[in-house]
Amino acid sequence: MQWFKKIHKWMSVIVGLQLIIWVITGLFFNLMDHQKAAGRLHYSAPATQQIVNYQNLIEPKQILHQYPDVVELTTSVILNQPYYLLNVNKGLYAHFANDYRLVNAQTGQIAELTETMVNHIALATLLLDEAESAATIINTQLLYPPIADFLKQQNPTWQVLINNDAETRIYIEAVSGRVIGHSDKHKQFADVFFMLHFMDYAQVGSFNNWLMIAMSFFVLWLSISGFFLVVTSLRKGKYYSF
Amino acid sequence: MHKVARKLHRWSMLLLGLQFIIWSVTGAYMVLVDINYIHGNSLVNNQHKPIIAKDISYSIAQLQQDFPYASDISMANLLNQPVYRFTHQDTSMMISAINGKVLSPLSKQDALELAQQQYTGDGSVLNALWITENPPFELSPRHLPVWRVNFDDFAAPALYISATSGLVVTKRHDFWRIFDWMFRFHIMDYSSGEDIDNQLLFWVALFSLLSVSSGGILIYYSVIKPYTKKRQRIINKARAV
Repeated sequence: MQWFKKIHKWMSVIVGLQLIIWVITGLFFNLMDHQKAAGRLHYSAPATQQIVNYQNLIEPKQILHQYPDVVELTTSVILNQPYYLLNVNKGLYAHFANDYRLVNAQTGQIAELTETMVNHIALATLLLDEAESAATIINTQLLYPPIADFLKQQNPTWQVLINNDAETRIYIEAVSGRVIGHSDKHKQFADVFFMLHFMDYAQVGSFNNWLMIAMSFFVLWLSISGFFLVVTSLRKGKYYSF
Repeated sequence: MHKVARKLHRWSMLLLGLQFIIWSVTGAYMVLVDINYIHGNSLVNNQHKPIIAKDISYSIAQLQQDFPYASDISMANLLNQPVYRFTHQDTSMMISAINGKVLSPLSKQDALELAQQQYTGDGSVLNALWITENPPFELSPRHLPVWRVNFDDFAAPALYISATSGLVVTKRHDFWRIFDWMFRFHIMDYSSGEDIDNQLLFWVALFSLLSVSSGGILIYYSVIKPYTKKRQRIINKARAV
């Protein structure tokens, strides 16, 4: 038996099942509803920031005198109340670890989002069609990373469970009040396909894992040896008759 | 069954084989190179100096009087001075928090200084290009206008500095550019980019499923069946004894 025939046979034994999974999940990505897969079925983007009257609020200068290590101060309006969001350690991206403090812009006091506030922020991101107008909250809880629905998020995050058909889950960053996004049973379903395609069986949200690298190496040999098989089949005239 | 599967596998792979090689080569590249490296995270140090409160002499109340429609206001240190960033009537702006002087769009000199401050490599600056329209494929148009600062270094790194915020909005090197091409080939998007729901991919993937499944049947006949037969022979022999 030629060397590439042997390689083709044994590589197919190793990667065959995963190869079928790759093709099926790839086909799923091609066909899926991207809005649904991203958990955006009932998502409505937060409104642009309303204009705040700063004339009678505490000045950033005064706040920064109290917090000398702040690298970025951001104005924020949460449920009509103006705040200053202070960042002491700014991550490269918002979902990377950030070290925030939230300060009430009227009193200068450190503020912490309460469960009631989180619920209000969450409900404001819910697209209100008729079916959703009666949406109620089942549960609200504070989670620490890793968060199964948003594996990349590295900051503590509130999860708000909505009682609707899609089983919507709304994620709000704990200190900043930033809306991270929605997840629901549709996104969860799509995430299973991503996990399978990326062989991310440890669920760390990455495709740079050793199993995946090993399998990609084997499948590379499978396709290269397959190429030689096609070439020899052509040479031997196996394609001239059925 | 065996013969049908063999023919199906051989003939379908004559047509699909090239795409399978493309899938495995591009897939291997994408999983092998760390995605954080691809994103260019290691090109920048992400160092930010704290805001010096005593330097601030232009208040936020003053800013609002000068720019009554300012929203999304933020403050940070940029090149050793506190600055405000905000949106005013759909325009992103940056002004000094020392004297309210408008700093945007950023000068070339400032962009160069910021790029060098953030860059982690040893290479020196090659040039800085001012881009206001028709961005290269590696930059999203929403970041315009920008300064593209090219470095004379391994894999041709470029930092894109927003002219309105002074922040590094995008970082690229050749490994990202290759990755982008690899991804397009992987999802068979031979036209525009980022279009995974194209018809070509659908038909090729559907046909591939048939082809790979026929290969699965061949595994059964060439590996699993001979193994179980051999096993059965040994068991039968043992029984006979």
